[in-house]
Amino acid sequence: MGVGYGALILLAVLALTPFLWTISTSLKNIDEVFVYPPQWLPHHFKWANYTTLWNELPLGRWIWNSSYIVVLAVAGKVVLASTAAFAFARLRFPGRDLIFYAFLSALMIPWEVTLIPGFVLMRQLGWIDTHYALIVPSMGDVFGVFLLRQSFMSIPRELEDAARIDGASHFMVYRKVILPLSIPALAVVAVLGFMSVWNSFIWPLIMLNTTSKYTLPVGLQLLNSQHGTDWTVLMAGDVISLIPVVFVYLAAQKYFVEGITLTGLKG
Amino acid sequence: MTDGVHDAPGSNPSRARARGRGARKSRWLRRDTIAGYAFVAPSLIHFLIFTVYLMASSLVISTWVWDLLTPHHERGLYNYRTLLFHDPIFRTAFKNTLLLALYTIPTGMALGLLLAMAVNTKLRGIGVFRTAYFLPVVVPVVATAIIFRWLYNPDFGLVNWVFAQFGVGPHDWLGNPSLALPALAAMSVWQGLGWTMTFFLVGLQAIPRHLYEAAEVDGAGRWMRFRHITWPLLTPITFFILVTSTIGSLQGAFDQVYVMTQGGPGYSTYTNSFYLYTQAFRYFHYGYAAAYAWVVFLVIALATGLQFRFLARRVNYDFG
Repeated sequence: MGVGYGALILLAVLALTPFLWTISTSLKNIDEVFVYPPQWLPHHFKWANYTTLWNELPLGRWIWNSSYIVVLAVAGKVVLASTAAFAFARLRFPGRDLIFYAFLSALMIPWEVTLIPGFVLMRQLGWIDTHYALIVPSMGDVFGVFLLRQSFMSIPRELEDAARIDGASHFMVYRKVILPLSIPALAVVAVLGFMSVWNSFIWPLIMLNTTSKYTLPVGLQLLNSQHGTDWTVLMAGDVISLIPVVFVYLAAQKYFVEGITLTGLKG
Repeated sequence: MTDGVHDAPGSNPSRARARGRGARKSRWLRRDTIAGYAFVAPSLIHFLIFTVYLMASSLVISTWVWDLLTPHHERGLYNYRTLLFHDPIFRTAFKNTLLLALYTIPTGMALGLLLAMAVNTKLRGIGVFRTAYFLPVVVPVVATAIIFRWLYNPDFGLVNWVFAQFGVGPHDWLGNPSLALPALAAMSVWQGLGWTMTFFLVGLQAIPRHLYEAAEVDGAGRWMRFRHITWPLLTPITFFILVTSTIGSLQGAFDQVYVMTQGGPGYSTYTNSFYLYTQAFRYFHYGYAAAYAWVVFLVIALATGLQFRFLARRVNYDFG
């Protein structure tokens, strides 16, 4: 099976053209945008589109907001999911399986169901228009618990027993034996968490009011609504917003694909 | 989804060990119990607040008529009745959501399978191509939605230019009520293809080589090999993709609708999630939106149940 390079390249063109076209448009002068048939490349790279945008909107701020929110939320996900997974995989206590099944059943709940009460709760906590509202609720990761539990269970008991004979506490076993042996699985949880937090739109959209507190997707939508037909600037904003996520994807690509694959293996 | 849940987590050896320890058993068990709760506590507290409490709260709010600012009125099933029997926009949004599912799921699965078969090769540099095909999956929908607004531009958009090469168009893709929904669907297919491809690729690579070799020896052609080896052995993956994409589709696309069409023109691209959002955050009908969410949940549960009931037994789990 399989096809030759010709077909593969054609398919890559289909997958990537929207991005390449975005980059090209972002560097054009406006009179090169409104032409038909389309002009493939700009005559001169007009970097001013980027500087205009950067000066007009707090893009740097949005990138910073998105970045630190994603770091804290993902750190929370990894800590919460790995501690719970350790308990489910390695410890015996009454109600353990019941709690685990309850966690699992949460995977079926569509996000719409918790949207309204979540908004009400954030309002009661005074968290509207704060980043707490974006970080704290997204620290839970039931699917991460499931993935890590599977991974922890595959670690041989003998390693843990050896540590216990040396007097290691449960926490030491978790920290010094289990975690170091599960780096790939932890990376998958981190990468899936990154994708869901970084790309999340509706929740930050309803939580945030102040422009300087926006995350990148919400900021990008502001740009979209204010500069709806200012295509060069709009595409420049799009390019800037794509750089971080594409960079992370290329750096951690293995775990993205592995993560997606593991999502499938639960089926 | 339940695979592996039943093999209790390494508890059998430890149970045997604990029995063997006799006198020290109870002390160990207590230590385990305390530690177990301590380790589960952070996740459990989070779960109790952000899942259990919110679910219960959602159910209660769904029986209220409430704008959040004035006191609520307890109205029982009023919101559900209005939604199901007296709200034509709900029907439109629901129909659009189903249509989107119909447009995207079969197309996405067929193209995803073809793409997976194309990249299931040992050609040099195939990894680069897989990376390229998967890229759209990881970027925010908001970003691609803005890109597609530009691609669909009626006067200068690339899409119209491509169609013009075949003598079709030009069309105002997002401005025409009968084209806007298919246009959104096409973008979703483009963005989701890498995801489907990756799953099918995993499935294809799990098929033992020797089956194809044996079939070839028996003189089976390409189509015969696909029909009698590839397709039956892919059914678990196909079923998984079908179930998860149905769940995703029935929730209803939000980001791209919000960015590209705001539900328009008219109500032609209202989806479940977008209409639910407008009810809550534009008209301040919080109770109504909560009820809406439960209806969506029930429909998803029903659809998933039906798929398991009628399709699961046609799935082939035997990898000969």
